[in-house]
Amino acid sequence: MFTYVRNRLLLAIPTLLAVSFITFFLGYLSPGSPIDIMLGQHSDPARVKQLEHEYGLDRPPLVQYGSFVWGAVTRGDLGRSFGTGQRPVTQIIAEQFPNTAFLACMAMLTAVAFGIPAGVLAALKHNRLLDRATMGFVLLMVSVPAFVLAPLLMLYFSLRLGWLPSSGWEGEEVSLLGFRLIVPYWQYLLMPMVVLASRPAALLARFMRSSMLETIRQDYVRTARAKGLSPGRILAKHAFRNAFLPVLTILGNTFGYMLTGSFVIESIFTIPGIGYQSVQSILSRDYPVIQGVALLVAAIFITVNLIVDILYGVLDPRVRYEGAK
Amino acid sequence: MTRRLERRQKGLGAILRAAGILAVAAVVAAGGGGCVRRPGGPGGRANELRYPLAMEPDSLDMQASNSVVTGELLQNVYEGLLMLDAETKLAPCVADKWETSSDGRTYTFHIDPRAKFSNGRKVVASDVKWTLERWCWPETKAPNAQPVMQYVIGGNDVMAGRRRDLPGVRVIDPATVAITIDRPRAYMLYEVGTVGIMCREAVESGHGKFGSPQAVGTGPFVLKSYEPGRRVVLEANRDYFRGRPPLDRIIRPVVVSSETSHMQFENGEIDACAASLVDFARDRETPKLRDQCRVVNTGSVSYVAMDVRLLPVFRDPRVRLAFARAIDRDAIARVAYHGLCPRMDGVLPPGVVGNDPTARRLTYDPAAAKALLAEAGYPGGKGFPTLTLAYIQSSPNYSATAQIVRDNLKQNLGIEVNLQEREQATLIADLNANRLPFCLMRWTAIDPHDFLPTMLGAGSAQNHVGYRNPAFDRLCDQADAEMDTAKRAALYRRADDLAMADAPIIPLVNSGEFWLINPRVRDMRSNLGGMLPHYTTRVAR
Repeated sequence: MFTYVRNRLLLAIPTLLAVSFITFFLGYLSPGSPIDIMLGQHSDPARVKQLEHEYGLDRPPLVQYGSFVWGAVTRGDLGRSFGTGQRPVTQIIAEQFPNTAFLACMAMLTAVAFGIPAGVLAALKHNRLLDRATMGFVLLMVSVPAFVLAPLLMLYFSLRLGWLPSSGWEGEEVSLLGFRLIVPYWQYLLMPMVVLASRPAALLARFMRSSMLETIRQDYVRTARAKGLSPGRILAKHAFRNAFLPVLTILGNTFGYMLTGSFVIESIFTIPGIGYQSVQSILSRDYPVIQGVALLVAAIFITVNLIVDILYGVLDPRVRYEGAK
Repeated sequence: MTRRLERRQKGLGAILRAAGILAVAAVVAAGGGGCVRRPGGPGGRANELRYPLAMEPDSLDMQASNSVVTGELLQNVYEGLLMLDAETKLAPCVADKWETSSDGRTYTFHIDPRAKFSNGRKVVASDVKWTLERWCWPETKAPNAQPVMQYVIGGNDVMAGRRRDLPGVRVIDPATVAITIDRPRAYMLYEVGTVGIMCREAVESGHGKFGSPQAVGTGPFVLKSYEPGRRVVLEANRDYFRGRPPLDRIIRPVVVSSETSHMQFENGEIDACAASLVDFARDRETPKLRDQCRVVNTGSVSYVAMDVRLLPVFRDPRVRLAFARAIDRDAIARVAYHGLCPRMDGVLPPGVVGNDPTARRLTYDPAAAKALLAEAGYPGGKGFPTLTLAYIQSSPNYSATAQIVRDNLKQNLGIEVNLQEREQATLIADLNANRLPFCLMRWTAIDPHDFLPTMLGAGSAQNHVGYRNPAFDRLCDQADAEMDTAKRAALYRRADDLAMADAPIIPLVNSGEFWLINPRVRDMRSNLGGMLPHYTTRVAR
């Protein structure tokens, strides 16, 4: 297991390097520079040249990239933002990522709490009213994009009923592992959490249903029934555990999606997270922040996939990593 | 093996349970207690103004910022020697009086003896000198210093890093400062006079960093806090030298989506917001919101640009005039701008020195347009190339304008036009690189110099249409050097006439800002530059 984890972590290094390289050169090649955005229509070629020099953008691209990698490797320095008061990128990420992570964790819990039981129930009541109702609802959730669902919820629960604030991220500031985190009041959390969880919950329900249907038709489940085990015990001890394994992979990717896929949601609900920051940085061509966020996203996916693979080994004795290269 | 597996599963289950409990507890704790404080909730406090920032402040250092949104925020913190009042006229601010030398090159400002920074220190002339020098220093990375400071004696040398001190700014005594420019320029009093004065020791205390403690100015408000991605809070400068402002606090939540800020306004979570034109037009028909709608007239002109360098057909003024007369600007004002923005008959918007409210230039006349195009060698549009009209994306009024322009040119001149919606960054990059032959743009300024000679002058880097007219340039030069406002206005009026006779651009409408303001908010004033600092704004309970 140790060798496997070590190898995977070593493999992460070239992956992160490749991500940083691609992100840097995509940014470099994309039309519109941060100086163009900074100066707008009131641009002057002389001033553009001067500011490019002051921000180090007139250096050859490979030198710029090399200096970024050197800073990142030797000092953990991802550079400074061109906008937002030229704050260090690591500081921006450290300030905003905890909010995204908190929202993602809460949405993940919601998605699991809804999606898994809904999928199991639909499978157990296959082709009956409950199954059809659940799958109909799930289809609706999969089909409605976040940028539609979010304003609809805002219109209904904020404007019409007046129960919830339309947006914002008000709460108590807590310090966790040295990071400043805003734990929002439930009124501010509810709508973004539901919107972020809706699609993953629906997908989880569909996968869980399919996986469960396949499992309960297996011989060993039939044997368990024949042995006279209670339906609850068959479900808990035999069917669910095996049906859950394929869903675990989805769960890992879903969590990655939630950590990184809240761009629209954070912008709509004005949540000071990394998704909101990314949108702003892309629009203003703030390359250092874009690169920093891309690296973070890559690192998250690598870590989540590694954890899922390890969990596979924990949950399924047939899967073993000893000797794996 | 099975037991080991079970142990692992139990361990995992315990971790998951603990995480779940912790997370739920965190939320319950945060929202628990029944009574939740909701800073953004309905019903704000008296004299607490809440309205959104449409984007993240690009810096708290006013000199390092080039964002209109940041400028609107920080104008409450920093003040210049002079200010623009509600009539967009220069008025005393940190300087209580000033004079211009007989040769028009030197401005002498007398600092108000009461003027002091929010940290309590009196403003002295050397603060003004240091502020202007710092604006030029390369390490400040000031994006907008060059258009102004290039004309101050020594400014170019300081900006190029060849020297640190600015010989064009002289401290005469602690209360008097003189600024000398290269030659008489009527607009420079406004340009140098309104630069926000910074507190040297506060800025230097940051050792290169610029946060809230460094943002010390003389303005009516103090920057209390800035939470990135969330909000900026300003508090009243209780010792403001011209009298404490009526507001206690200004809360500016960062809300980038105009739809979200509109919803927050409707829900009573904020007291004012700028709305999109489409929302605003609908709000004016909504009984609940009708009385809360306010149009803020700004010095803005939306126009069609035709680059004579990129498309040879545009080199013939008859073609440009044909376009100008074939485009129904009244229809654009009525349909695309919902009748909220007046049609423009020249480059200078209403309220700007030189604007002629009686002028009727480039009137819509399809028959005359057809004749002009035929005269230019393209009868019925035959042989005329297909054009592509570029404009900024996600703007319904630009999109509607582009469609009207396309239909007008097709129906009246037989010219085919393709529409191209572009992302802001790439559109601006192409504009600055002079790669946009035909586009819809908007320009906002206050002084006529920033319109006519800047947009159409032969030597201007912002002349994105390649227009060259020596007679026009001469008139603009005369107007720029003329100190008498009435004479200056007359000269610019003639320059506007001259430009419109050539139609290098086709002005369409005077686009403004559209605000929703709760009736509890009183005396929130504006001028051609947008919202003014909140010297007078009050919020009733």
